[in-house]
Amino acid sequence: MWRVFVLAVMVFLALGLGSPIMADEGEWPKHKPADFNADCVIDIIDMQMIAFRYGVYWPNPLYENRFDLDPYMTNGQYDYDIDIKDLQKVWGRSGFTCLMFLDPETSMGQYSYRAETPTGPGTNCDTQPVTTPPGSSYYVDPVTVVFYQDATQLHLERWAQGHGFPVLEYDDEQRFWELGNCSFEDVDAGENEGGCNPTGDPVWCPVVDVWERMHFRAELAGEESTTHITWGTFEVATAHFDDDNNLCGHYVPQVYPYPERIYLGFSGSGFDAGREWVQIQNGGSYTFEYWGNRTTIYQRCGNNQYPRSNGWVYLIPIN
Amino acid sequence: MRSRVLCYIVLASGALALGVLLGRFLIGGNEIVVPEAVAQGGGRLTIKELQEFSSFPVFWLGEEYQGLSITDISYVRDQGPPDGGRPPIESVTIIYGACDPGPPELGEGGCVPPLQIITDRFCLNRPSFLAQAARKGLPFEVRDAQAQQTQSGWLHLYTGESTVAVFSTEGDGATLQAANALQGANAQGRARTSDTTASLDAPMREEDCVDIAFPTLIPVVTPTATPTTTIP
Repeated sequence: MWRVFVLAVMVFLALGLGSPIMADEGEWPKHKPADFNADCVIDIIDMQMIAFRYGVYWPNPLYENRFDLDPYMTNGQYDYDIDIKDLQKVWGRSGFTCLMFLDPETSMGQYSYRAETPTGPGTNCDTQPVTTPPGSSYYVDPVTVVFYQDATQLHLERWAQGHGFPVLEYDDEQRFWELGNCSFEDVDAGENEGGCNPTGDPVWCPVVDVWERMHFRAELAGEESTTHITWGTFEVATAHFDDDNNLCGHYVPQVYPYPERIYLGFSGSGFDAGREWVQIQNGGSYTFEYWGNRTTIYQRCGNNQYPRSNGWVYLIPIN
Repeated sequence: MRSRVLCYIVLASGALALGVLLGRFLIGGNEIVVPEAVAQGGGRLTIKELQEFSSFPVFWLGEEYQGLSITDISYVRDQGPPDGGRPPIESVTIIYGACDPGPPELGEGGCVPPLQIITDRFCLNRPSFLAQAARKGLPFEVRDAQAQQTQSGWLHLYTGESTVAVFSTEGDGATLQAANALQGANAQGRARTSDTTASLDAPMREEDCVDIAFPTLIPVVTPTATPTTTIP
């Protein structure tokens, strides 16, 4: 049986390579049914999911409508089997991502994540599996700001330096999950150089409260030549307030300690304060969306803090 | 003489260790000690304060769930920006279990506790608020409540006047299992779900939401930053 399957796949590949599906703008909804695990990219995982069901018919328990792509993707009808034509719908779209098709409903960049190995210069994303999401236990700072319109790396750095984040760093500290891949931060900007140990040992803040700062890291979506249908060139950012502690370094506080600097009645974490501060510094128009990125990130430093974002994301146009 | 002193020290150390262990046993190992609630804007709550909370129905998994005890309870109430843009926030967060952020050389990333439950006022976190891009799959029902998964791994349950968000680092299956074990934490919550087998209310209609007006807050004076004090 498996020989038949392998043969069928080879025949299919030969046919598929000869007739590639052309990608048109705004077509992602047409291809989306082949993205079975809804991670915004059609890849080996989707292929494995349908290949496992190859050859089954209804009412076999392995049969599911969502894998029965042909002729469904053409006329909305099922033929109640998973055959080579269904596999072709997936193989022919291998490598397609929602951003390629300029879909405003992209799920890109909704969280950043840590790595098993220390981040920073000299490390690379390949130390993590790059074809599967890293898993929620790897979440770090939540995405709370989207810079859009013409948010190239150069433009965002220029914006940051003119809006209260003058210190730029190039240390590849943070990784983002982007369209099925690991990607390092592109912009890292702060009120001051931050950290609690800028010059050497021992690891503590030499001066109390001086190294507190507002800070954000941002990831350019795709390539600068790739634009989003409504956002144009955009970057997702993880804004936050770094509190300092003279014994263990710095941390994002559960309750931002200077609420009157934000607005009357503000209450939230260092992540919430960071997002509001970016908009306060921006001063111009903005819009907002609720993404619900509210996963708590425990901070041992600061005597056990449990900060989280309130889930709102601000969209700020820059040029 | 020296050996007798050494013997006393060993005996005293043993007695101290035994006393600490007995004390923990008598007090109760699962009891959490958290700071008192902050008067304005929110803060940490004790279990007793959570059970007496009266703003809206709150849900939880009891004082312990599958071996995970509560590690933090917090309440937040935020007025929203003065431009009236996004809505205010009012929610109670309950964290179950602990995680290890690892050695400091991994950076400031922190770690994700295993299980988290957030209860919001329904009108401040209603289904239509969740961006299309943040939704994963179609809405479905859990114990008669309206449920929606999110791209970041949360399961939102819209029930009555509350929105209950559940998150487990173990994945969607564990998250759904926890959602099926939800019960009322305060009196208003218990009135709706007395036990884990009971169904949950269907959500109230979004059209029935009225603007939430929190009491006017008195500005809080923040202490000035500590002057530059050099640590010895």
